[in-house]
Amino acid sequence: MKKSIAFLTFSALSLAASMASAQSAGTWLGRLGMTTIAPQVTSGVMTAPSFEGTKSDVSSASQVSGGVTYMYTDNISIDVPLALPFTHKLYGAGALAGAGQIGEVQALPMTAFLQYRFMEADSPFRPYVGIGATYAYFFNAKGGAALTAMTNPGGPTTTISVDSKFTVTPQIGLTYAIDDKLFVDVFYSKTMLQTRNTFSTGQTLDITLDPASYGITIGTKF
Amino acid sequence: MRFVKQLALGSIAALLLAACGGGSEQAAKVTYSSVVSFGDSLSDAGTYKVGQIALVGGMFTVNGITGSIGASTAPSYVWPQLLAAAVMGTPSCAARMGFAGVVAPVAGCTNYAQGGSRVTDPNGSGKATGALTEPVVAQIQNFLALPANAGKFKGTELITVQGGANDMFAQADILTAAATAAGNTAGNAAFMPAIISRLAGGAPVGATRTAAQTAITTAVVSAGNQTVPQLIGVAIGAALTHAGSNGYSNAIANAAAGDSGAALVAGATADANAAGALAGAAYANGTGAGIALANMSTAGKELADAVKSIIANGGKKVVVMNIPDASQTPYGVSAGPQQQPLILAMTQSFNARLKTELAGVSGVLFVDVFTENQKQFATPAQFGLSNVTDKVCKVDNVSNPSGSSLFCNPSNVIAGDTSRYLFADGVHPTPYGHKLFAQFVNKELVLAGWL
Repeated sequence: MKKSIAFLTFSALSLAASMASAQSAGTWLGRLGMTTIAPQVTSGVMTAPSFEGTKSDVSSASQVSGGVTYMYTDNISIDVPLALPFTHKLYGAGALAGAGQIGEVQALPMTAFLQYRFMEADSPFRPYVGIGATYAYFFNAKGGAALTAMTNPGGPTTTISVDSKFTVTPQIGLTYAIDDKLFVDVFYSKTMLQTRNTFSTGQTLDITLDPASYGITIGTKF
Repeated sequence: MRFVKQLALGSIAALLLAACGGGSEQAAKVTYSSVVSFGDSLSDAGTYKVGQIALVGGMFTVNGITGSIGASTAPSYVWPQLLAAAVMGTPSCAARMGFAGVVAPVAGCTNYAQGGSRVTDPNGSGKATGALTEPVVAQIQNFLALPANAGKFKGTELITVQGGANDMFAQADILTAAATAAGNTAGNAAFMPAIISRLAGGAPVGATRTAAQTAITTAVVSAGNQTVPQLIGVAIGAALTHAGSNGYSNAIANAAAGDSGAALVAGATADANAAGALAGAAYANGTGAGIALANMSTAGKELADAVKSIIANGGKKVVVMNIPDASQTPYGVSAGPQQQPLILAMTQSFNARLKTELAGVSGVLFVDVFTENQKQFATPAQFGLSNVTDKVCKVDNVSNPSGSSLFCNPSNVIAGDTSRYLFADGVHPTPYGHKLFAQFVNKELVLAGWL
């Protein structure tokens, strides 16, 4: 215990001197932490046959996440976040407000960011901006007893499929260098995403998800 | 770097796991031991599917459409059967089957609804021609009387109750008969005065005409108990006498004398019919309507009382459906603009009382199918309906003498794609219409946390 405090103290003292090559050109960075994806839902209405004004809502989901970054120059980096699939719950809204969960879908957003990191490579704080190309991959969407009862009573289980989409993701973030290897990264990004739910009973429901993603990770340079 | 590889591998592994783990679906939140239904033809799962009837139909919808539940062309099931299929996995079946006074209980079946049934009155629609029409209150007693049930609901059943439409048809019939009688009475009473007025109309306007009217009336009254043709003869004679003694010529009386009063009688009949129609309409819209609306309100209370008796006997989850908008059915529309508002008012009278009486009663879910039905009429496309006005069944066809969809099957329906029509006959939904009702009831169950 005492030893680790000493280590931290040493780290802080030696910060300025040891930071020389923290995020300089050619460096690889890796990180691990948590990310939350919070859809900012604007639901369209379910096509006929349906209850007038049938809408959907989508829950936030958090997941273990990480990423890998390559410093192309001292300021320009390429970043690929990695994460386990996010499980989002689908809720009834509009005419189905109060129906509770009617399904769920798993999402795996795959993004490659091009980032610009401000300040010098050895600065303790480095804000950055990025723009990402995203493939929002949806899979394993499920309906359930309630959805089936309301769309095809007594029939085969009504399932939902969600279209996967290519889109763009602007991003802002900040890294704080703990020492010459470890750093903390926080980010916020917003993905422009409209997609379509297709029910096995034939209806579709277009929905704007525009998910905001935010997270915190601890990383290291290699 | 090894750390990065591991994370990437982890992500791929998770993907694979997720891909393999699909298929488990959300189960229902609430489970039930059975779906028990009480009601009329809207809930009837085939009470009359016996003997010769079973060969052509037996349910009050388009019969004989086969296929599994959920198929794109809805097979022949009524909404409580679909509800049971959704809740229990299999559709419910008629608990008591028969016709013309012969009734056989069917073991394992829990749908007691019968076409024609009223709320409390055993004389329902079609009783005279053989329909069992056990009223809703008797249906409940029949359930409780089963030895296995020992006079109680277990509390684990999902119970559906609807009714009242046949009470409305009965009230409409009563009202029509009473209004006709009132109209006939008024028409008969107006006939001789019309004869007298028409004859007096041949006298010069003013004091002479007034005097002629008095003279003819006096002659008819003093003639006493005679047949109508005799009295008409007396009236014509009096008119001619009055004309002769007062020095004028009564053209109408002369003409009547010439054709034995034929034109006079025709005119007076028209006058009397008009008076009768007015009186009939006045009765229908006044006294008669008041009686009909009051009786429908009473029927609404009686159905609510039946629901309360279910709760008192151990029922814990009772879905109560009100009467759909009968005024917009083919039956309601064909009743014409005079009667249509009354059909609407009777429906609303029943529904309002039913709702009021059940307000706050624990264990009751009131499902407003009336309003949902109005939405179906207003925006059919929203519900996938292609037609909300025409009947799929050729109910006047010699192949279907039942007058309803009871004998209706694909061999005696109109031409064309009728898979998305709302009505099988004047009042009963098609299998697709039943599917829509089932979906709506299920939605209300889900919103209430009952499913």
